[in-house]
Amino acid sequence: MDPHSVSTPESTLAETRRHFFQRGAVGLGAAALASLLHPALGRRAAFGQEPEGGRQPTLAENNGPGYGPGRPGPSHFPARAKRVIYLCQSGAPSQVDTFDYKPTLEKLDGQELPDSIRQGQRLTGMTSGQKSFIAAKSFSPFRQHGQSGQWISDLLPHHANIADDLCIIRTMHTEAINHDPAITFFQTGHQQPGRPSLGAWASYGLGSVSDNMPAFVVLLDKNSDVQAQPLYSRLWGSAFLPSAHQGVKLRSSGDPVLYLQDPSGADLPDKRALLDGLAKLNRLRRDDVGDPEITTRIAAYEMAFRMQTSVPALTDTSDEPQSTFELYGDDARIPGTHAANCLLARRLAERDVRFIQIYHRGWDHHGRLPQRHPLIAKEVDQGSAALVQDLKQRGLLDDTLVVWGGEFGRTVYKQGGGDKYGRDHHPRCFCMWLAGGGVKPGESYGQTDDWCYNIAENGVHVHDLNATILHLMGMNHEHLTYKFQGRNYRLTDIQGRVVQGLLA
Amino acid sequence: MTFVCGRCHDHKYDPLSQNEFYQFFAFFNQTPDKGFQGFAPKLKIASPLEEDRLGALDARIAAAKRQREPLLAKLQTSLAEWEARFQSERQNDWTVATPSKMTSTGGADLQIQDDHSILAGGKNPTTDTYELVFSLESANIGAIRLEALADASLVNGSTGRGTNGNFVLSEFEAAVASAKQPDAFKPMKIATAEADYSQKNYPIAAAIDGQAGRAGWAVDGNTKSDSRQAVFHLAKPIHRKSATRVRIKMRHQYGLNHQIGRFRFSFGPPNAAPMEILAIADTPADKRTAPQKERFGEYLAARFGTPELQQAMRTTNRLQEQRRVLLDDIPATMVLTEQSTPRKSYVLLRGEYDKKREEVSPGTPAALPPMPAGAPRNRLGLAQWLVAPNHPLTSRVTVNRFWQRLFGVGLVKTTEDFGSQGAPPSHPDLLDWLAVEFIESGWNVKALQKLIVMSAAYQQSSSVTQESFANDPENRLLARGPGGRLDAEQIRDSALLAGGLLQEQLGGPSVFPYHPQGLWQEINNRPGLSRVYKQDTGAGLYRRSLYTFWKRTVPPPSMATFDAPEREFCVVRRSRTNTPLQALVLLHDPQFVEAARGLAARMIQEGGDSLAGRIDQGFLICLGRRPTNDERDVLIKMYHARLQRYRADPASAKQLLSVGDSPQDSTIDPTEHAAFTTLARILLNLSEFITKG
Repeated sequence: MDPHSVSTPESTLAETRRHFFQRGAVGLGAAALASLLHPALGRRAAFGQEPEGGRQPTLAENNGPGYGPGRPGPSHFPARAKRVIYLCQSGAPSQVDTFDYKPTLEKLDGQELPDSIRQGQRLTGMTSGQKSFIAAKSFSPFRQHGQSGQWISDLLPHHANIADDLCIIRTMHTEAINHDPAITFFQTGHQQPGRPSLGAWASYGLGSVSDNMPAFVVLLDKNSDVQAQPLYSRLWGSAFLPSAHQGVKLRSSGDPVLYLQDPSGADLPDKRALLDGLAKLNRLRRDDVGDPEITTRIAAYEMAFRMQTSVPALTDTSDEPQSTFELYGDDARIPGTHAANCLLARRLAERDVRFIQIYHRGWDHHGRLPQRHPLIAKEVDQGSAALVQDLKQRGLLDDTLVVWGGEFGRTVYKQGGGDKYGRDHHPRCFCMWLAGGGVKPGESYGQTDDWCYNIAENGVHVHDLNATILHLMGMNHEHLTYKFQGRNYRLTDIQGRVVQGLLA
Repeated sequence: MTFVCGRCHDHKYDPLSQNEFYQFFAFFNQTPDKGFQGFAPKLKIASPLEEDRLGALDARIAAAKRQREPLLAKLQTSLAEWEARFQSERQNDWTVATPSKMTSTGGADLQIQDDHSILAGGKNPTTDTYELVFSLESANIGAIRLEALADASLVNGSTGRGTNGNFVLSEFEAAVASAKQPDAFKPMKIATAEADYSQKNYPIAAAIDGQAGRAGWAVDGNTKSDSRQAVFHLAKPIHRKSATRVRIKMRHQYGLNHQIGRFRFSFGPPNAAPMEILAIADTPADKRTAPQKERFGEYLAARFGTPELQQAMRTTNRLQEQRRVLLDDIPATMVLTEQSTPRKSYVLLRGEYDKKREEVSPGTPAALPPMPAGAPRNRLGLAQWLVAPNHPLTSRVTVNRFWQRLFGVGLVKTTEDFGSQGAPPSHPDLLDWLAVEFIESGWNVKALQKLIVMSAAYQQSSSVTQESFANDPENRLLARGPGGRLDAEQIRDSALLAGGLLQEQLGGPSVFPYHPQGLWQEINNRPGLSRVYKQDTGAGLYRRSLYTFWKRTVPPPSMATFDAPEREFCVVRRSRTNTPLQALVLLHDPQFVEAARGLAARMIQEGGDSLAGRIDQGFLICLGRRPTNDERDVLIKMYHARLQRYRADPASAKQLLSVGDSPQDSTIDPTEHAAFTTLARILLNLSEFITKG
């Protein structure tokens, strides 16, 4: 038995396919259905006969491709990105003040947003009662950086160092206008709870290549802004996928992984003795009853044991040289900061964790945005930029995709007035950036209109982005499905296209 | 079958059209949905225990009333005299008081006005708490009156400092101290509170609910600018002849500057008339209704009657108060009601809520039998249709789910889908037979489960040979007994039971068992929302898992690890994984370490004096069988090694035994107990322990 194998004994993808074709050819036909629905046809006939030539369905039929954590499966085509690091900027940063440079706003600043631009768009309750919508240019000046001459605002000075690595999408758009549905939409492809998260899909589709870490790890930055939007564990949940694919939180205080340490303080030899006794009894039982689940469980306990040393070794950054902390900044020494989590993300990438998700909260500035945005920008700027530089130095950026962005953008018009204005939620255009893992470096993709309000060309929908991320990981978003309640579900539902213009 | 495809288009595989989806939807589209505005109606159903207590109280109230009957009979003659006394005394019931000290934690400027009211001005913080101290020469206080007064300086000329003129009094607290120890304030419990006006969803009761959150007493100050008053009745009146200090705290935690702008306090005696009585007293005698007359008479008798009558009135009042408290404690459950005027339902183009197409009325899919003759076209009729004996699905789907619960896999494997995309049944005749049995038993769930568990199929051994496993890995043909890992809740409950910790108490509010620290706060640190998990002590730690409090945005982690659904959507079939994180839970969740300590104590106490006997007892408790010789040998060797280890290092034995809140059994030698606890931990981690069969 492969010691890495800790999933349920499910069949391989090949078996599933064979099954599917068998069923497709001879599955329960219309006649059987009619008898099922019409009791007049008699009780005995009411439930259709076994499909001819068919056999009893196996677990794989419902659990899909059977590679869980520890069992990497084949991808649909060669992957450009072996792993993804997703830096989620919860609360929504303002595209006007960060990445979407709009010289036109110099002139339009202070002017009323024309109806021809707003086009009767639905607004949130926070500004729908406002009598006027005054455009405000970026409060922070923009400059060109690097060989590529990418425009980046001074709000994110460290991003200047990675300008040539970034593929900035200026034309993201989404369907939701409030945080909970919007972030749920981004992370699960659906505004309402109940769908697996992006990382869970990646784990389900590709399995894990690490023998002592889970495939999908989540890091939460400590939150400085008391008005920050709460998060929800559904954002890294597995929903109807087997729960082995749910994101495992790596915590910055207490046990880094829940229940990693023995509350009795037992040392490693104690634990080894306990596990050896346990394994002996489990094996005796397996030999007696022949249940292969027991073999899997023995392997699971071995991986749990390895995690008790591998996880502390991962989170203990004392083996990093001084240069690391110069790159990431002194924040990287304080657990739970964005810089510290970005450093951990790199260490996780080195350990072949498939999907690493970092959440930073606090961008939701409906008031005093020019005063508050810089505080949050300062928290994330250096760490995010250092991560890309660090991956590049180590040759990891080629096959690691870094994603950075929020759940929507912010309005070009002011919420409130004066210089203590805020910006409201804006789903119609906003920026995200990608780096590494097969995307075009030094690229700015898409154009917004002069007001930074609508998309002028090359819009990228949330489903498009997710389809592209899966594509870079070697998966066809239309074929990565899971059957649940009579329907094949996809991350991208019935939409999404791979954005070729982003690919290197 | 799944209907939801019909939200956007006709079902692609099953005979369900989009129109039929919206016809079905129309049954439910009749609720007076109020969203944030609160939920109604609610239904209170007393538990059998509560019913008993209510019955006992009713009997005592009836007895007390019988006792006072002859005394009340004499009332008529005194009534006019008592009312005259009341009308002259009521003016003097209340004594207006001015504080000797006032502070605003938010830095507002509080100034006493000529009419003894207090006006807040100056800084207007988002939230604020006023603290007032009254120095009284003596005290005979049963009630405290708070007047919120309209003032021209406030927005809207209203009573509140909020940007719209409103206020929310989140919490009202009172405390008392003597002159000798002027700062040793003891809280005074407020029994009831009443107000002459309360904004919808902001009742005065919210100001004395012990929680200073966003909820509280508000008065629609944004639209109505009248002065208002509230009276707080003390649970225990205070009588003091010497100097007394009373401290009042008015907490305003709603935010948006919703503080009271101008207010005045008065103290009233223990028998101060409630607002209801004052309203009756103000109604001309000939306009009072019979219940009003009775209520007023009772009040006057309690206030002015002979000592004997007063005593009798107090007894009935006390009992009636107990009854009210008991009724309040019965939780209300939300129920669905139909709107008085039916709401129209439409087919929605591709499910978009604002793209209405043709109107539809409630109806069931044509592919299924029609609704029974005479069944109303509402939810009652729908229920009658669902359980009509000729309905082909309800009974089959239900028995299949019970089969799945017991065997791990349903006879129809796709428990959630009996349509053409679902799996065909493995034993169609059996499914049909069970379905009919179920209907004919009157849908008797207990009888159905008994029928299944007493079957030969269920009672087979679950042992499997490699050949048999290869032939039928999922045991769909039932050549062996049911197997499969237990559900998250069952695993925890089994461990509690094995460890002798399980509290078998039925019902009651949710409980808060062991929980990793800080888990809620990690994802939400906004003030005002639930941020901190308040772990229980005592019995709350050991109730069945079905009572565990569930926060959907942060489900209990050890349950989520064992595939408990997130509860954000309906799941009729759980995944069943086998992961390292599950190993960590069983090894390190304090609940399981503590259960192992309890199990060790049981092995020692119930297993006789021999080591082998004690190990056998552990096997019997956890697995329902004795160990094989090989298994016993493993644990015997293990025991001796562990005993030696703990003898050499008694501190680590002590540390192991200290996990968990339950008291340690001091009659057992700690090193021996620790060694057995290690054996018990192994037993609770065995694959067999968490597996059925």
